[in-house]
Amino acid sequence: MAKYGKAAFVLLIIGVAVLLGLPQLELISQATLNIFTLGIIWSIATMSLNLVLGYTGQASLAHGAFLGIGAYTFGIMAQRVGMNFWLSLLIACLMTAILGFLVGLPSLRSKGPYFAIVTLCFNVIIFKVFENWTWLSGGYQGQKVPRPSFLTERWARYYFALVMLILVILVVRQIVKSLLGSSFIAIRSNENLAESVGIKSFSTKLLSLTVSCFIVGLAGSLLALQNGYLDYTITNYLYSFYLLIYLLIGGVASLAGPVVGTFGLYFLLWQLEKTMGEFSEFRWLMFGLLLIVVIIYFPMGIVGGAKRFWEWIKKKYYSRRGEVYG
Amino acid sequence: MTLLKVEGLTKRFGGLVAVNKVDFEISQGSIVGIIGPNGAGKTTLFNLISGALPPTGGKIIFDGTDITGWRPYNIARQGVTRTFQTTALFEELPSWVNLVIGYRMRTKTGLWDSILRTPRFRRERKATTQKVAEVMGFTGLGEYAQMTAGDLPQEAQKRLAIGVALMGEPKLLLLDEPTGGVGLGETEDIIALINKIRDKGITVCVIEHKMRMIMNLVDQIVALNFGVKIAGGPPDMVCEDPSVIEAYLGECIA
Repeated sequence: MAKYGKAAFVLLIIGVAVLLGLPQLELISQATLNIFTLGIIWSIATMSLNLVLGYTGQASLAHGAFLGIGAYTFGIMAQRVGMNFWLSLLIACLMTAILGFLVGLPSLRSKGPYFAIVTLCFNVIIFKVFENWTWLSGGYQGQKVPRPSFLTERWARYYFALVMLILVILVVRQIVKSLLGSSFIAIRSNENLAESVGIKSFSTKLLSLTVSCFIVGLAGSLLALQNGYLDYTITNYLYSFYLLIYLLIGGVASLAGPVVGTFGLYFLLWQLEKTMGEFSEFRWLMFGLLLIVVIIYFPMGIVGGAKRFWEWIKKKYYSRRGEVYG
Repeated sequence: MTLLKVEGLTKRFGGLVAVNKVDFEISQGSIVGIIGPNGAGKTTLFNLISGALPPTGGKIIFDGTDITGWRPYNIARQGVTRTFQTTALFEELPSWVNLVIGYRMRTKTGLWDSILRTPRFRRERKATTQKVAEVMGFTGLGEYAQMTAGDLPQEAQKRLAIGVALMGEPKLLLLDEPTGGVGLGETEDIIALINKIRDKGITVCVIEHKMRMIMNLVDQIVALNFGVKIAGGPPDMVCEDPSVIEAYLGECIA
């Protein structure tokens, strides 16, 4: 298992290296660069959901709300309060983490699908609040989000998002490959057994959700920064489902899964929209079909399927050489 | 010395009294068997002691501390771990990871330790690795270390579950039918393992149906029927008790 982890990690590093070179090659247009940047930002958000759903087994459907809260905290701090960029970013992440903690306090007492429903309700409430409380959200017009001077160029924002993604992947990796991570995984696997071997499930789940919210707050801030403006639709609960779908298709409980799923789907959907012209609405249909196929045949997503394929290849190879596989 | 003392322990599920004013003691370093027909309240008794269910009444005193109504993880940290009747494991994880999780409560690695890989992280990872190797050897699971727990043979799963419980360095180990659904020869292996655990100084309390096995293994027996303790004492004495014969045994076999 450790071996696969390493192989996937190496692939991930290669992927990141390719992404690093992209703007330099001048092969892609400014519009494509924008899509790539957004793909990276959504990957960060999916990564955060992976921590709480993939590793800890708690299906939060409030990540759309947390994304919006992160974005708005950043936007309000930077634009209306006029705070320094880095400080705004930090406060946005902290604010989202604190709210995640407060939401987790009551909601994590429910389990499984009930937790999903409670968090979805929270997201709907937040959406309605932002829709109607125009003083806070700016309503339909939204508000502007200022960019610091070093992030005015598209490629600069691309690199900035990429560095943040790498940081997030590294942090999540350190967490899940530790004794703390083993607590998370134990709760996902069998919560009753975990409690009977002394794991404090409630506080562990709360920690997982809080860290996850910190990361999704970062994603929200980056999204606001990239778009340059903000309106209430960023808190939409549909985003919670998007993140869920990206994660399921990419592969839960793996480090590469969220990035592969998010990037792949985000880019695919954008390409389809471009090429299909007036039939572009049909892309959602294909999206649905893809989801069904992946869930039936690759329950661990694309990355899980790739691991199984790799396993199969290795078995073939060893049996051909007449060696015992193991 | 008394390790566990149960006084008037009662559990009601609505109108049903699953465990009714049960009293018994377990002394340090002994093996105690709990017997009784199906539905006698044996597993409920375990659930009460391990904190999986809150008791309706009575007291549980472990090692001088009143642990009545404590949460399961706090009771485990106090030194009582258990296995489950339907073998509970972290099924999709490798055997060795199951053991790692069993030791987690004895470590303190937190968020910052994990992210920054502090000295404590490294120290505790080393301690965990050593402990896993030790318990692997002790339970004889070495060959299965890398295998997914759910794919192990039934008997190895039982031993792994005991291993997970042992990882937490318990003073009292509760085993709920450790030989249930296991073949005869393999039953001997598990009995040998339980004896080895006792020799390490860990007190064991075991629910079992195989009377011949329990007679040879345990020092004390508690017999339950309809939630009531009907007999208690050394195996040969309990075995000859008319109420136990009537409720459970039919005739004495020892």
